[in-house]
Amino acid sequence: MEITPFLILSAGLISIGLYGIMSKKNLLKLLISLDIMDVGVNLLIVTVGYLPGGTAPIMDGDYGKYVDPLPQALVLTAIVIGVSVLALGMILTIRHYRRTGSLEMDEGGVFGW
Amino acid sequence: MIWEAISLMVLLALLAYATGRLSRYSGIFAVLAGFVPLAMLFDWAPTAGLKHLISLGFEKSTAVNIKIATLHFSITPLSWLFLTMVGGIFPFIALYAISYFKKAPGGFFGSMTLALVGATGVVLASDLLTFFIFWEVMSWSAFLLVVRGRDRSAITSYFSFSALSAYLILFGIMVLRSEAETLSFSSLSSSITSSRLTLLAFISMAAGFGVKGALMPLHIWAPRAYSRSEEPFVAYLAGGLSKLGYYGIFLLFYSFVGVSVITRFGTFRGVPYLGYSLAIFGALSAFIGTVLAFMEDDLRKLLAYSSIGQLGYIAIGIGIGTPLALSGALFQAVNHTFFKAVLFLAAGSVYYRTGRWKISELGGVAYRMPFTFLAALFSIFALAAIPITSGFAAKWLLYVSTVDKRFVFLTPIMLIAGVGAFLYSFRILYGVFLGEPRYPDIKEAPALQLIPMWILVMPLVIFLIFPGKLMDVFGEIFAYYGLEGVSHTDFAITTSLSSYNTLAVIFALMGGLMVAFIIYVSRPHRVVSHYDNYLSGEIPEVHEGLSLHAATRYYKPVEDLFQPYFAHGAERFYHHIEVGLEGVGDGLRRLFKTTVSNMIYLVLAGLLLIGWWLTW
Amino acid sequence: MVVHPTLLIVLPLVGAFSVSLIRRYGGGAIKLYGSAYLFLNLIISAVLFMEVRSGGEVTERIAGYSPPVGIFLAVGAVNAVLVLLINLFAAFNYLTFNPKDKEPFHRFTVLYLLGVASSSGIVLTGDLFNMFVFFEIAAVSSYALVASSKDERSVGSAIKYMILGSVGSTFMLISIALIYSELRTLNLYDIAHRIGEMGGAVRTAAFTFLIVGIGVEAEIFPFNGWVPGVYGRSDGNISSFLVLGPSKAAIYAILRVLITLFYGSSSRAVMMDIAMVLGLITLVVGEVAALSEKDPKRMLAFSSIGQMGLILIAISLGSAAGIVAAVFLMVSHASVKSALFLSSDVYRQGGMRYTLTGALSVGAVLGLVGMPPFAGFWGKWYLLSGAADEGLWIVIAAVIFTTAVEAYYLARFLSRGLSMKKRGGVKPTRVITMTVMVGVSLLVGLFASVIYEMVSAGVTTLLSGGI
Repeated sequence: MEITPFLILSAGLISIGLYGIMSKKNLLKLLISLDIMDVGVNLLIVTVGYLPGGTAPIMDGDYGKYVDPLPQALVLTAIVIGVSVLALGMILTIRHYRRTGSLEMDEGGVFGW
Repeated sequence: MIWEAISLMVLLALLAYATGRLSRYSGIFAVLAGFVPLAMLFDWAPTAGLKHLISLGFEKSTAVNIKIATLHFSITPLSWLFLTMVGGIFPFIALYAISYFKKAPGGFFGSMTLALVGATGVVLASDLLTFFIFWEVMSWSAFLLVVRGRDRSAITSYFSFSALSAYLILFGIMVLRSEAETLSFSSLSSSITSSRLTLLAFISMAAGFGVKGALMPLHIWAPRAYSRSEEPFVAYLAGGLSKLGYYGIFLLFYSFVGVSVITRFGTFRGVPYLGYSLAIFGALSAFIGTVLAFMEDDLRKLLAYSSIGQLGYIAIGIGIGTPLALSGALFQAVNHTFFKAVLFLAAGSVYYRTGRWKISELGGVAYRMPFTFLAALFSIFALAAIPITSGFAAKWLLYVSTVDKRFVFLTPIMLIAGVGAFLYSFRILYGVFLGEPRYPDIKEAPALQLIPMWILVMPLVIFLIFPGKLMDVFGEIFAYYGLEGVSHTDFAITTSLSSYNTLAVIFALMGGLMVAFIIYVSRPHRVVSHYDNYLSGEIPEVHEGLSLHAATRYYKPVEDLFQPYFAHGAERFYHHIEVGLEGVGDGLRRLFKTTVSNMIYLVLAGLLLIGWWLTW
Repeated sequence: MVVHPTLLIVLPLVGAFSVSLIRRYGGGAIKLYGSAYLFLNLIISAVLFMEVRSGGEVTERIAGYSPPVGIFLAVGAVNAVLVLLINLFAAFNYLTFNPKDKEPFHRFTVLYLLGVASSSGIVLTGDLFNMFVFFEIAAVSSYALVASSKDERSVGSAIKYMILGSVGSTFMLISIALIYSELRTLNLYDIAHRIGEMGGAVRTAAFTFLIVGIGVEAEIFPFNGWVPGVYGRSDGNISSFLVLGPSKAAIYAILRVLITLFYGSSSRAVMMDIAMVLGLITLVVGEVAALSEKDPKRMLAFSSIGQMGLILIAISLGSAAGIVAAVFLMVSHASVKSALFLSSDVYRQGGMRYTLTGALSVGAVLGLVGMPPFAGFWGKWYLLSGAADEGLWIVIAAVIFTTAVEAYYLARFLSRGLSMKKRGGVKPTRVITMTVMVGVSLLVGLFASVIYEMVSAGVTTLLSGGI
């Protein structure tokens, strides 16, 4: 397998995420966009460690050519971090929704500064 | 031992802070601290008479290693002279302050002592870092005292101007440091070149020092700070600390950059352009300060503007830079120190007894406070340069030096400003002290206020009779910086144009006074009511709001003449700068008061620019 | 090695995860528990500081793997100062929180301890990905801390902060992936010496994304849109924590990136130029914007931006004088700006006339403008002399101009606070904390040689790609 398509895919995901953040006003959509960006970067990290034709880096006797294990460990951490940021974002969104009854990021008011 | 002495003063400052809330007698620590520079003065006196009076054995120069840097101190004739100005008056002002405050003044004495520490350090410093550190200490401890006045415009303008001044000086220091690769005063000027950067450094440092010396147009902090702070501090600020600005300018010419470099930027009738422009700013200060002073009704503001005017003369003298002019400048500096301190203290005493600052609300104070009046009178004579005082000698030296150079702009302006000084001095005399007695029940100022005032008047008397003694000190300064001296004896100063002999002048004046006295005694005279005196027998249409007090809008025609021009004053200029900057700032603020998507646009723009720059 | 630097990260983490065990004993007990960890941390960081001072750098391997394979903590002169600074102020700053305001207090304590641990982690770590992780922890706890403020609108600012921060950390992660893809290592010092092996385009991208990613946290313009909102709406003591903890750690991370990480890069000079321009823009934008800002807290926030620009300029000089200046400026900013933020609540309540708070605020303002003998003076002195040595007169002119502007608005801030009629209610804990902060700034300035000697001894190895 070539790694170029994955690089393009991750670049695409990051761009979609960025586009979402810049164009959407709905808080949920913003959080989803953030997550898409996150996924894109995670894909980038895994791709970086990928070796064409390599197997999973598990010592089970018949391993020969295996992919770099470190990026996979990094990705695990990155995913956890992404999830926790997302969770916090959700909490803040809920607090905002409870107070104002709105999910829009309006100009001025709460989002004025 | 210099370092120990400075540490001792800091310790006394801390003690004064610690006890400041307990009692006003915490001022004792400030007075004690004030004796330290006094002891140094005696030790280092250039004239033999003082030297052997007291001697504690202060070394002439010392270096203190504080590990991050080495601080160098040394005493030169010039720093001795300025130490008399910033240190010599301090204990007496502190003594006055003890009586001035009716209850414990909190941090007042601590901050005063720190200001003294800073000022002493500035004049003793012999390298730029030490100079700057103590300059800043002096600056911010004075700021602490301005803060006590709790006037918003005073706090704001004092602090921003002193920070501006500090950093202008720092800019100059950085330039000099990188050109000469040394910070030491003695070796600086030998390796400075006349590059454009040096010119910039010179201008920036001169502006920085000019702020402290209240030179127009950098003066606007002065009237505010002078008129809203406590009187003893104002006396010290106007009398002592403002001189440090001119100390800096003097050093700038003769020690930091050096005359040889300065003359390489061009000369005008033998006076360097840089010096001449300083003189012009000085003349402007002298003129505008004076005009503003005689229009002012608030006694403190009047004295503040008068300070600006009088300090302008020092700038003129240093700017012209001939030995004669320098003598005039230094003479003026010494005089101004004492008479302005006394005047502010006397004003403080008047306020202490009457609770009024407005000249239009005062009057006839002299009948109840004769000793305060006499001290103030003598200072006013010195201020107005009336020939029986040392003030005359200073102004005379300056006039002669400008006439000598045929400066047709400076001389008339100085003369006009000199007459102006008469005009506002008259208002102080007549409006505050003489005239209709409005406060028949007040008492004379307390002895603790009178004694310091009279001690501070003494030098004016001494230099009145022996201007030559002071000229001796100037001679040492000139010798130190390799300039030629001015020929003089104890009583007389001789120049190429004319000579001034105090004894002759005094005898002539005594004679004149005698004649006047004889006429006064021999002719019948009657007491005229002040009302008649003012109206000269006419009966005006008395309408609402017309005050018949001699001090109210006394110079109305002159005021009307100048009023239109004040619309374009320095205050307006700074206001425009402020408004302009705030407009820019408002635009920049809008970059932050925006939606997240706009912020991301900014981030991306930054990202692309950095990437573009790196690949480019 | 007397103490393990790891303890500085582990202890607050232990505290954070065990604090809910004692939540039934009430706020006071929780506060005591939290402060115990923080002050223990303070002691450890002080010992670490002394150790680095006497014996040079301290490194510690994590989990037994030696670098460059394993993660390791590298404590040199600069970060020893910084970690002590962060822990000292964080411990005292914690005292200013009232358990009743921050219900439930144990959760708040978790966030605070996480913030302290991660800030120390960013400063101590010698591993790029590790730094990223700590950045994320610091960011998450900051978002939550900001949202816990009294001002209801702080949620909006926290959300904005979160979105910008997440984009920033995504960029940081992209950069890490790029660096790893080329060099197969995450060790900072390993990267530093092998960065030349990277392809030019990838290196450019890696630098750009990293500087932008960290720049968001380090308040560098134009990546700092969140700053005025967050500082303006947070409680004073939360803002002060952000100033002394995460933002200092972030600007230190920039130092690591510029000085260490891209040490061997051929285009390093251009990178330094970019950083200097960014610093200059940040400085001018921050200070001028602060001039027109009327709200005291937001004004302090803009002023913070300006100060961060100043520190960035000092770092980007890339010389010994620059590093020394950066350290002093960090000390100064962390101490006096935090103190001013602490006083800003009192300010809003109605002035600080005749109070100790007022006196301390005056001291803090003097320190911020860089008056001797405060620490900021040495920062500005070395910054200016470093710039003068390289003939960067534009930088000097900008610093002078902005200092005058800064003095003006700070004086306006002070004069307004001091001339108000009412006396604000000052809590003694805040006064103590402010005293410590202003006192540290003063003491560091008076005994500047302690830090100066230590940093200038360590700066040679730092500037040659070492710790």
